[in-house]
Amino acid sequence: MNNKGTVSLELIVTFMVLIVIFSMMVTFSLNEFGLIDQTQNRKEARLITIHVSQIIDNVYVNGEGYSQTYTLPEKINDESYILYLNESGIFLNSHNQITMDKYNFEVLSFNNGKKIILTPGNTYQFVNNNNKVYIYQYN
Amino acid sequence: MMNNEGQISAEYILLLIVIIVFMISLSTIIIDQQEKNTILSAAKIGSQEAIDKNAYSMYYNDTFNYYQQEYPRLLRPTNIEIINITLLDGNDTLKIQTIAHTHSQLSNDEKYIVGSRINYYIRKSITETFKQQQSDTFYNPALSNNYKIETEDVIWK
Repeated sequence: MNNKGTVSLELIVTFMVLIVIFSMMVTFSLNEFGLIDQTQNRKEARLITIHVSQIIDNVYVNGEGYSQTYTLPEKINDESYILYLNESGIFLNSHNQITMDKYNFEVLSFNNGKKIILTPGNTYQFVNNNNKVYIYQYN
Repeated sequence: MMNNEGQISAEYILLLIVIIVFMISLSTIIIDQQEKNTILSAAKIGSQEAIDKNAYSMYYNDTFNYYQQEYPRLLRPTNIEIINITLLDGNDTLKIQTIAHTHSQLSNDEKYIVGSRINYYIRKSITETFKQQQSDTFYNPALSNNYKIETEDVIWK
């Protein structure tokens, strides 16, 4: 800016170009943030199903009397969820979406039911009893 | 450039007119190219979301139930790589061609489903980036400021 308070044309043009670039960057950043948020949901959901599946396998292969506890996270990316196991697999429903993981259901005792529901925030004990894995709520 | 009586020369005015005409024609090309670049960038983000969804295999309830019945393979994580996304020029309709690769063993039907998801998220991302109204449930065609964008079937390599 000169002493008469006027700015040069170059400065105005540069300023306009910068505004256009920044507005583009903001749009893309918002898209990327949305994408990262979705990825976080999916990643956490899948990790929980894989973790439970691994615990069941681990408790089974370690033999009679072995036990392991696992506390389910309170929330997945600030939203609640439902985790259940049946003979088809381990299912996790959150953010209106479902993911599943296969596991060795033959080693799991369903206590005469067809489905075991695990609730967020609770601690569960996985116990190998007579070469069957039982799941008990710990607290 | 300017004499002591406050007048500017005719040459300077002519030069200024030439520059303005040049700038206007150049800006049209730049704005058009910038829109196409934005379309491609949005397509890239969209395709990333699609392959991410397949990588974690977490789907909306209806889709999940359908896959459980018909395509259980898709309920397991699928590794997909986007090799190339190309924008094919047209007058007012552009086409996007995606080339992808997967190490997973997928049937042709499963590849078609995964490819359709990639295309869906590409169209969705473009429409949302340009803050346009959704044209139909599947965002087909996607809309930018000046173009309609359609997607060709994904080529698997």
